[in-house]
Amino acid sequence: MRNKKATSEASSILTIPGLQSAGWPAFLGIAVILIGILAFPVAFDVRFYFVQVGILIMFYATLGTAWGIVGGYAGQHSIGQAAFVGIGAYTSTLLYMKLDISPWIGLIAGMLLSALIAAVIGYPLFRYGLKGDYFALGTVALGLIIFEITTSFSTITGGSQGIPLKYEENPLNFQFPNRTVYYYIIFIIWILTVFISYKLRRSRAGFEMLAVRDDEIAAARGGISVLKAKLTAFILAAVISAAAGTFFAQFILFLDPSTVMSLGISVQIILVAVLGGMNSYLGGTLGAIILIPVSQLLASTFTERPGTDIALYGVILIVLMLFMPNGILGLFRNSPKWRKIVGW
Amino acid sequence: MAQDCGLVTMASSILSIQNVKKSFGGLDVLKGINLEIEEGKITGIIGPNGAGKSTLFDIISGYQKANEGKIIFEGKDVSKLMPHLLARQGVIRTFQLTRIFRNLTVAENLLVFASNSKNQKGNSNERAIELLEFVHLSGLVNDEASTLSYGQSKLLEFAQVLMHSPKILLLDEPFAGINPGLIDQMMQHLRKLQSEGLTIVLIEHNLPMVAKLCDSIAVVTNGVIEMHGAPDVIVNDSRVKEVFLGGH
Amino acid sequence: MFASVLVSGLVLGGIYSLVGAGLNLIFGVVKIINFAQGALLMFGAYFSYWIVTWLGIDPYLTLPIVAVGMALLGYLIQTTLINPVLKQERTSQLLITFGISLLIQNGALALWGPDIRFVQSFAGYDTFAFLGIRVGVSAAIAILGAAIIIFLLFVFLNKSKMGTAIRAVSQQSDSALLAGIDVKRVYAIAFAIGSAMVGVASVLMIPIYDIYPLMGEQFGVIAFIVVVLGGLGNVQGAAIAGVFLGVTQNIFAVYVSNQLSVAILFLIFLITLLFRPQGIFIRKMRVS
Repeated sequence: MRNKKATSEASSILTIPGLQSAGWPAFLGIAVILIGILAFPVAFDVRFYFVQVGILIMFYATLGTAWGIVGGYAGQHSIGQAAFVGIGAYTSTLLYMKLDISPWIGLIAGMLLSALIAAVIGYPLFRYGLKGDYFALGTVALGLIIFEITTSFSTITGGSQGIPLKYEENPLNFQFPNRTVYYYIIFIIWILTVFISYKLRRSRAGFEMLAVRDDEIAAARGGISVLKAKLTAFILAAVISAAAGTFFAQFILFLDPSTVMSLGISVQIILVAVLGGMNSYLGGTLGAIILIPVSQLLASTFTERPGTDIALYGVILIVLMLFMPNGILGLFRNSPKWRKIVGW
Repeated sequence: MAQDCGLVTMASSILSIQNVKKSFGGLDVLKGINLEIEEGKITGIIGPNGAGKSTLFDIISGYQKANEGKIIFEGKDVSKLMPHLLARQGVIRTFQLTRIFRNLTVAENLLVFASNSKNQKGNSNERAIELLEFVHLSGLVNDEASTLSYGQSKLLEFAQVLMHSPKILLLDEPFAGINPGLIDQMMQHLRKLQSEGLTIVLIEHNLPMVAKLCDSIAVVTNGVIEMHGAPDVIVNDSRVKEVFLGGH
Repeated sequence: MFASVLVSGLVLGGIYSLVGAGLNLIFGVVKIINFAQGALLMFGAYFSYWIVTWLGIDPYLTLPIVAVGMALLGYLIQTTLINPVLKQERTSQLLITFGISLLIQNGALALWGPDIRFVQSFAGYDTFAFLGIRVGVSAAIAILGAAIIIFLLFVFLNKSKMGTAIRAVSQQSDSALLAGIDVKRVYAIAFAIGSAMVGVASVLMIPIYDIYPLMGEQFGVIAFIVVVLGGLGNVQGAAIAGVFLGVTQNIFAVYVSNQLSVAILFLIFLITLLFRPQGIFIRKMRVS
């Protein structure tokens, strides 16, 4: 008798966060939502503007979710994350414009280059015990260096003038006559990112990141390589950001440093993650759903007063940090059931 | 300078601390520690505050590097290993100020420790249940660890390190802040672990408690091992009495 | 040629020293990285600019008002925004100063537009000969002013009662609390002094530099390099590091590439972070 009890209890004790604890209503809900998202551009007679907003939401949801891996799970606040968006965008674009290499290959190349740069920068930053704040500083510097370099080498990058991408309708060139296709491409990138984040949260590697975030010293005592956990998170986030960057350049067919890698983009990424709740795999998505339409509205309202929207972001960030540092999904952390579902 | 007070021969030493020195900004904290930890025994380390006990633990577990000297674990020089690698070898410690993962649930706190050990034995689920029952935290498995009291956190840490199936357990003041009823149970549990072959080293201020539990006691003062011997010899030493029992 | 490059490098260096020493004080005492330091510099510059515009006085005369005003602002930031989150995770503090920076910088952009503004001091473009070098009067004032303020800060920290309290808190806030020091108040005062230094820097620089909303960005980041190079809590170290960076940047800008001169500083920063982390903090426990 006792044995049986212990076994059933055992499975309940060591369950890790996941949707199965919510049962079939959750799966039904997810199915409905996903079908809704997929049907949105075609089933309804929507203006392309709204499809475009949908694309932006998924773009930032992807970046926010990726940031959640390094900033939320591993607790390493990368403040120059847009640098990786830029690396992805510029790698594929320059390969395409200068060497006529398909942006699909450029996408992979950008991801690889991002991984490399994240590793080269991240390794010494983490290796020499640069915790939390110092890492944040290092990423600010990284973001600014890459921004400055891209702007300075204008013969190759087009500098602050930017480069328009040549347009040749060809799926092999990541260019489609029907612009709705971009909606589905970013959908795939987004859903994959959320899936990776979800799986990671349930995996050994994810646990190690959370442990490192909470207490590096105790994590090491548990046999966890602090360096490996942080570096994995940083590289993973960089790679995903680069993929999103390539997508974005192909979507808007124009590239300049301030569109893809300004501090403003980094801020937007952080804000999306923080608002939704950066510890959850759904945080970036929720944050983007709320923030992106608002930011569109703000930007179009205050066209005469540029800066107003970002100043308001500053206020939102301060208020969030003062009163709701764990974001919206963080409010669920005290309910054991919901905690598992949102993967806190 | 260590005085050997009639101990048995040190044939089966699992951990050997050889001439370990450490200084911080010109202040010599450890001035050449030599200590053999016998396999399967409980060794107590006592000494006044600031004598260097915790620093010694930091060095053994890899959190600090000694300026000089060696740490030999199971015949291998581990002086340069990082803490996580030492942990994987089975050298596990607790901290004077409890360290748990505050934003994880109680269950997750154990889960983190479940599979990073090379000498993991048995089913980790059952082990977790047993340990949580033992430390009276079964009812709180899904609670966030930040909601635990200090004593509960300390017990959770204790469960955590046992989850890891260590070969040698370094406990830094394990009984401070734990209610007396549970201390007896913990001591029994430590004896049981010892009977299963675990080696335990503990820092503790309560001399009678150390004397009751340990097979041998090392006295650290001013960065050296002043004495190392059987509990009854140490407890009855006049100098030890003066330092530890004088005030009480 | 080289002599004038050196002088303008020293001016830049003096500003870096002031902003960096202020940041270092906040960093050393409150243990937070103040991302808003650059934005505060810009704010100080506009503060002075508006006083000059409204009252028609010489920019140098705004120094006491700007310094006191900035000190109050710093005090307010610490007491209302940062003290409440001291117990929270460090993320909160970091992102709050980041938010303050966004608010001030973009608020200025929204209110006053991106136009470049400038003020005229009594010194104008006057120069004088010094050891055979022609030196601008405002440049000399900036260099001397920065040196004097750094010296005063040093004296204050080492000789005054409050200075001793600040140093005590910076070394060990727990024991300082035990010693009966109101730690939160000391934090606020440290933040106030750090902001006042920025205010002084802004007044000293505006007769020479343009005023625009993004002017502080570069200075804010370079202040971090100053802290890293100079060593945590080390006022003289910050002063020397600031001068070194200013001179290096100017020489690089004139003789190598103007556009890359900022990038080179960030590169120095990254390299310093990577290879001299002990400059910013003493690592107690090694984990990786």
